Amino acid sequence: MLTAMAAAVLALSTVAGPTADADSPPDDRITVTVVTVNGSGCPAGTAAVAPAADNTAFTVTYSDFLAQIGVGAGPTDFRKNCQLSLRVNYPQGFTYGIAQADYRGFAHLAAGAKGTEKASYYFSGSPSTGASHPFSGPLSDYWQATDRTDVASIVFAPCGEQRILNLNTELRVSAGTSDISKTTSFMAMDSTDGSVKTTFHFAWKHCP
Amino acid sequence: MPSAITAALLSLAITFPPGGAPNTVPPPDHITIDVVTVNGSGCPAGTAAVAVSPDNKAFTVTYSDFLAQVGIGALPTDFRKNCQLNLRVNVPQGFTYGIAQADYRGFAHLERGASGTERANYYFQGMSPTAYKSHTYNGPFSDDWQATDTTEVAAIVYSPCGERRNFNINTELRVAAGTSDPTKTTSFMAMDSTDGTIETTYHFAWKQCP
Repeated sequence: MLTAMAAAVLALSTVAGPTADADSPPDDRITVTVVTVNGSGCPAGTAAVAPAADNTAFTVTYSDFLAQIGVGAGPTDFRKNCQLSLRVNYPQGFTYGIAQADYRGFAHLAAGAKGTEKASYYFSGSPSTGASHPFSGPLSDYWQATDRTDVASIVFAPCGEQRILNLNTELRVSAGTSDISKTTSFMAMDSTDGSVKTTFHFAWKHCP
Repeated sequence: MPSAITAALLSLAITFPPGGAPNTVPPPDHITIDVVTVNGSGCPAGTAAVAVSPDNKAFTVTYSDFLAQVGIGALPTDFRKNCQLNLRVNVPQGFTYGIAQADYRGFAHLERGASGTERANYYFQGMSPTAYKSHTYNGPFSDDWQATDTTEVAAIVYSPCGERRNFNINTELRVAAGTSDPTKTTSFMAMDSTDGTIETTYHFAWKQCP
């Protein structure tokens, strides 16, 4: 899976899509900023974004990102999503780093029920790759999942390059062998944290 | 003292990541805090208020709707509510040692057999390790409650303008019916306020951030 993601990122990095922003010359590392947050699990007003001061990380918190089945749940409540559009800034030259996403939340799953956290990653206009993390009932506790991948890019544009990375997170709950006429199973996401750590950067020349 | 510092560095809930935390302006010689976001099922938009002290050493968050409940009138998902605070912790360059404290205050009404738990998860943005502390109350109980988490803070910041990561405190209230009868009673736990303070006891600077 991770290799698939890495391959996707590597493959993408060879795609020429120069959208250099001369107004904000990038520094010598990869940075990421959150452009939009939206989805059935994070409608307007329910998500808060906290960027790190140097834009190498961010935290998104949710007040209503919860998928549920059983007593009190609507028929469409078993799946909720939240999509983040991220602007990734690559410096000019060859850059190698690690991108990481941490998902944290709470799950209450009756015996026999199942919950899944799934994240799909894709650059605008490119195929997506994904990672999913399943959980099984009985469970009534915190859950945490981490996706990590190597990031390599070669950017010839003198002022670096910006790409939009879409991160679609999804929570899904299924009844399995549990009795949904008597129980409620749910899975909630409290926060999504993204970060990029640049481990190596070789610049051909400096952005003027 | 040195052994205490070593212990703090090794064990701590709050040991700042290498590169340290962060400032947009040249930092003072003590740790300060800014509250960046407050959000969660227990504190949706418009229900939390933040007050930060003028010296940025303390803050108070108050809630109007942070309540977890079970029993009559409660939805199946109401037994657990959370509120996550994202803090920008400004650590001066050099070696800093201090004490961080969080006080949680609220009210609980728990029937005999029911229990309520206040738990706080602590983690740095972009880092997977998560530390937590929890406090549990058992019914019968119908009174104010208060919980305090204290931790030593040790930070070594070599690069004043290096990596900058925010600190997250995810507070949670959870109520369990236990042996109480949720078809006849309601048990709940509410949080009124969260107070955070950070007191710098020692700071040694190598050089000033340019």
